[in-house]
Amino acid sequence: MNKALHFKDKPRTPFKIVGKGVPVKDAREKVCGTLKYGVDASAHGMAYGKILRSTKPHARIKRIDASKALELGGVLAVITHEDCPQLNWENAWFNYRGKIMDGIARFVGDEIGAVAAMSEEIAQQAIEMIEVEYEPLPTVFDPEEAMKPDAPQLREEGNVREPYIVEWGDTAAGEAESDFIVECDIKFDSQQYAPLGRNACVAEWSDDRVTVWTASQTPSELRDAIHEALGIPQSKVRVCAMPSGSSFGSWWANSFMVVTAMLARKAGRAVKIELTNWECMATVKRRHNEITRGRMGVRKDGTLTLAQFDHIIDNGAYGFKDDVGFFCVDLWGRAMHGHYAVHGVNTNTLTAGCMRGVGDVTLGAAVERLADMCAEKVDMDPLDFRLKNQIRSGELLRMQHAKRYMHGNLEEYLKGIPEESRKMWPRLFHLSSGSTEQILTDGGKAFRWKERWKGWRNPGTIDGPKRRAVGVGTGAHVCGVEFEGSTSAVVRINPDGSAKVHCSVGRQGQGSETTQSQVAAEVLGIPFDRIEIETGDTDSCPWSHGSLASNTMYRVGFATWAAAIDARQQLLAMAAREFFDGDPDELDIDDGIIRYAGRPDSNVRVTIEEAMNHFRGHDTLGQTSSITGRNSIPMPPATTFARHFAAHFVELEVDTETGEIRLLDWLACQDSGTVMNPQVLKNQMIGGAICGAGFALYEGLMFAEDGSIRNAALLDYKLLRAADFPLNGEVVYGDSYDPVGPFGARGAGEAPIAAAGPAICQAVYNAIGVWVDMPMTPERVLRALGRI
Amino acid sequence: MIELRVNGKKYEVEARPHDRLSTVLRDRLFLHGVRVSCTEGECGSCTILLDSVPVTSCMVLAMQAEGRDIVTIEGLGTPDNVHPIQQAYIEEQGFQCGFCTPGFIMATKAFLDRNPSPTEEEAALAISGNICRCGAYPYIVRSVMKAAEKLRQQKASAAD
Amino acid sequence: MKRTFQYLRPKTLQEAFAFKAEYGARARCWAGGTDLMLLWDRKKADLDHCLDLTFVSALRYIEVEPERVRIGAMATLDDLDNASGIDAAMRAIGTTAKLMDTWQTRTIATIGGNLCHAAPSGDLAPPLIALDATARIGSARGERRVPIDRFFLGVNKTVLDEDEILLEIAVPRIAHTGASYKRIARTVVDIALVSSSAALFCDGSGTILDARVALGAVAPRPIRCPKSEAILRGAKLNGDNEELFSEAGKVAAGESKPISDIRASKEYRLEMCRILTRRALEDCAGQLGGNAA
Repeated sequence: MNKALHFKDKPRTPFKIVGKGVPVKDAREKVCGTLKYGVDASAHGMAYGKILRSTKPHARIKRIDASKALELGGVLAVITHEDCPQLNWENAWFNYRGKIMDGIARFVGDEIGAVAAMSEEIAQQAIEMIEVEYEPLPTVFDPEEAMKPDAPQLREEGNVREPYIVEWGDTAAGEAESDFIVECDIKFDSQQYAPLGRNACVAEWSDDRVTVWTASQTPSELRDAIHEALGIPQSKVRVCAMPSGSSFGSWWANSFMVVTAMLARKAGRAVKIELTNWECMATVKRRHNEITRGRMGVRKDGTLTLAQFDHIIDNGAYGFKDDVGFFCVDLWGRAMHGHYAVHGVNTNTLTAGCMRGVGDVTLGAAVERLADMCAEKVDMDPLDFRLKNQIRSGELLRMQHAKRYMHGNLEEYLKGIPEESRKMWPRLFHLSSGSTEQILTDGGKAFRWKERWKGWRNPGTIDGPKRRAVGVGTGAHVCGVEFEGSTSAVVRINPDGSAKVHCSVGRQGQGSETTQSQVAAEVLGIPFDRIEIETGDTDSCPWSHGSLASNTMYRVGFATWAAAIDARQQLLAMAAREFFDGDPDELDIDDGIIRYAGRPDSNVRVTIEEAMNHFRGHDTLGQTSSITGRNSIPMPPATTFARHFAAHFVELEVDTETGEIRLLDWLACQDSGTVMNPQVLKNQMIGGAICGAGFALYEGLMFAEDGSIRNAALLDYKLLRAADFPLNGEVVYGDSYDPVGPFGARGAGEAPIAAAGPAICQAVYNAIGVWVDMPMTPERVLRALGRI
Repeated sequence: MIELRVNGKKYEVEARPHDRLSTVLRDRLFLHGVRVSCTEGECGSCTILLDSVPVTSCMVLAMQAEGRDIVTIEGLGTPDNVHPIQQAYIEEQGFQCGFCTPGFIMATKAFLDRNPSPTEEEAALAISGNICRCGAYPYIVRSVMKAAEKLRQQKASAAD
Repeated sequence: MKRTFQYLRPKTLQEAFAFKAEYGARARCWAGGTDLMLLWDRKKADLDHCLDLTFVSALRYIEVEPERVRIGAMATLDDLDNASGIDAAMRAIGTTAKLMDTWQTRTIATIGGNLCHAAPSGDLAPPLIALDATARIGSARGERRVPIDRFFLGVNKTVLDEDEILLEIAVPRIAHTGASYKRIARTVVDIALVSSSAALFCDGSGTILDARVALGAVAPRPIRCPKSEAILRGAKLNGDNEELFSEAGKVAAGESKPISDIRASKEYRLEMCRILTRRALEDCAGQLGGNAA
């Protein structure tokens, strides 16, 4: 490996493109409205599909008669469960497990059939003409009810997953060592992705091979899902993933995409299914609704002695998660004794899945609340309490599920890793870099925390019924997980000296096309604007988990970095032989020009374009017209050592007569290692804050008696707007440097949303003296105050 | 068939009585910059200018727009030649996924036409008819303020 | 059969009346249409004919006269916002309009459409009731006037006959008027969860000659609160009316009949009637401050 490009510590010489706030690659397309999203997909001669959805929460389809629909002019095909292969498929990270249309509806809105027609209106009309006879099955909507042994069962595996347990120490001892014990019992509403931009899918078969165009964060996972659900080889599936609107985990591999592929096969032509906003909010996915019962113990000196949590996550109809990858456990892992148990449960409601910051937004908020209650018991400032009790770099991580999920036993796994690679690996199960320490300290100074903090339950300002107070919250999340496979990338150097990156990620606004290109440009020494990237085509992009679990910068970035290094080494090896005397390691590339490193006196210079043309055009040993680099350096298992951290500060005002909360000031701080692109990262931080603040204040799905969703529209599912959030947009970046991530960078997108809610909750508590469950609607605030 | 005047060009286009203007612009004139998300006038993604006034085109019948002056994002600037407002959004990174961005930019255009020297608070309120689910609001407001500055400079240098 | 309707485009009032006379209830006025579009789309409203008033230019105006401000039914909410500077009454109406919908919907939605939709949560009704506005209604048969207070019959129901069209709202101009609208909303764009509007009409010395209180989203139609008004009438503004206004708020809450729904509970709405009415009255008194001392 070229030593010059691997830095365990921050290098002294500045980076060329890493860390620069270059506009994202698709900026001009975005502001001009020319970028094409999932809903813009089309194929020549395509038909339009609509999905027939169950009106019953749990029922067997006794009879389904589409004969009238098929007689309607312009109707091309109808599919029902009788047309479906009845194969189980899984969405990434157990966000779905089951069959497409197996003759049983499990929630109101579940897919039970589909129609393809010459227009969307005809398809809709045909849907309404299909007669369905249901045989009602017993229902269960409450997760705790669903856990009882005599509850109606939704699936062959049963409703209840094995509890997922993380424990250390001895909780009884922890209790005995505590001077104070605090407790909570919190029900979290379900947040909706509310994916502005919706989605559509176009599928077209050519002989026995299907091509699918849709917006997805996980192109490779989608290819695999279609392969599983349809029982066709992976080579027979091509996914062309397009940019999506805000996704937050909504658009991975979704059942409607599989339905589109099946419908297109039956119709014998390309079919497009475009979801309505209602379908996006009521039939795809949602964040789990969750119940947390917890206790924490503290000694008078502020040492956390105990963290004990029992947590239930409602998976809805098709979710299958048993844990939520909750990294609050690590964040507060200094607690001397811990026991966390997570129970995944199915109910007859909309499928629940991973939404941005999964687990850390909910369980994390419960842990933060109890930690705050502990801090108050010992009269410590919440910022100091976090500095004392939160994990630091080098310390032991509590989440060790790699031990459970990694293939084979860990020791053997490690033996299989080449010695040279292992040397660069950080200590497994210990935090490799970063923490909340610096961002709490620097952020606290920038926010003037010590001045503005007036003590627990002490609002800074009281003006009639209005009370102002400050709050600080923290959050952590992982930087990608590897249990479903390792991530690959390909980097190609073209004859004209430009380069193309192929890596399978999503483009949901997090700037992956830009930050991955920055990584490749830095390695290759090729100007940023000569790097192009393909992220969505599974025919050209090697497998990757995709953009989920804050994976993109860290693990895909590592693969891109490694593939670029491989390409660079190939290029320099040939260049050294053909143009230079000596070792390729003595060469460097800058601005597309190959030259001796550290020999400014040498005037031997070759542009990449010249070199490439030489390799292809002359009688050389190269004999190549392009160079293809692959990631040959294995990525160590990120889950075992990498996290990213956020600390958010807020000032707000509570109107104690109406219960209204107004956010007045905000500061978002983040430790994600090297900042690859500050323009991108600041948006992830503030965007996470706003999505988290929305969940803290207004966002929550409401369920009717039949489990259907009452507010699956933006009229009554309230999203924050510009005037609802402080305008300053200031951010503070930590400057830790990761030993593994590309140029020291780590994941970024999920800790911010986890930190936002707790900051608001704490500030509200300081303003009015009572803890309020999220979403803290005006009504809930008044109820907590006992005013109604 | 009705006649629509869009971005300075006349089009004869098929429109049924119940067709929303957004549907006609997207599906029949292929102006994909007119983004449609909520279809209930909440999100503002489909904002266009109708006789210089911003409207959510999903809330207007195509028939209501007959003979009136329609401007969509496609009528503002192109990737080769972006409008100063679009340039300001790029410089301040006033977006993430970009789906809502054309709607924000059209609202910004209408707002700055009415109020060339706004305060940040006025700007924030003016663009609150648009939802950015990614949450780029503070940077969108910065984009509006920077766009205002660019447009004032442009006007001043044109007057010189 | 594909679901659609016939589109009618009158350009004059006479044409509009003629269509209404011909088709009656089967022709629904499209006065902006932002509510009707959604109702039609969700199959909650059916219409054979869309009577689009967009091109009846004679219905879009805001005329200021010495005794009243006359607002054409097709004046948009944005027009109302822009007319806020006329007087205290129009300030209350204009600031109310600015709270409604999004800007890009306020440019489409009209005062006439909002009132004829007669949603219990409609924002414009409470201040118009408080300000004692009058509706002018027309048809091929002639015209009539109805106080706004008596315009609403229930959810989506008004006094309009099948052949009638709402033409104009007239807001009286009275010296020494204070008017205010308060509501609870979730984000900056929302429909009212509960609202209260108050208007105080005083003499030059600050004695309340008449008072009106109206509540929104607490009954099938916007309601007036006569008992609360009676408490206020005859009182004098002296800069310290806290007790009076609190009492008026409490009584107003007693006059409301809220229900619980997806947006708020009955209890919350009751409590907010009390708080918002008091705050609206305080706001009115604040506006009248110069005259009240």
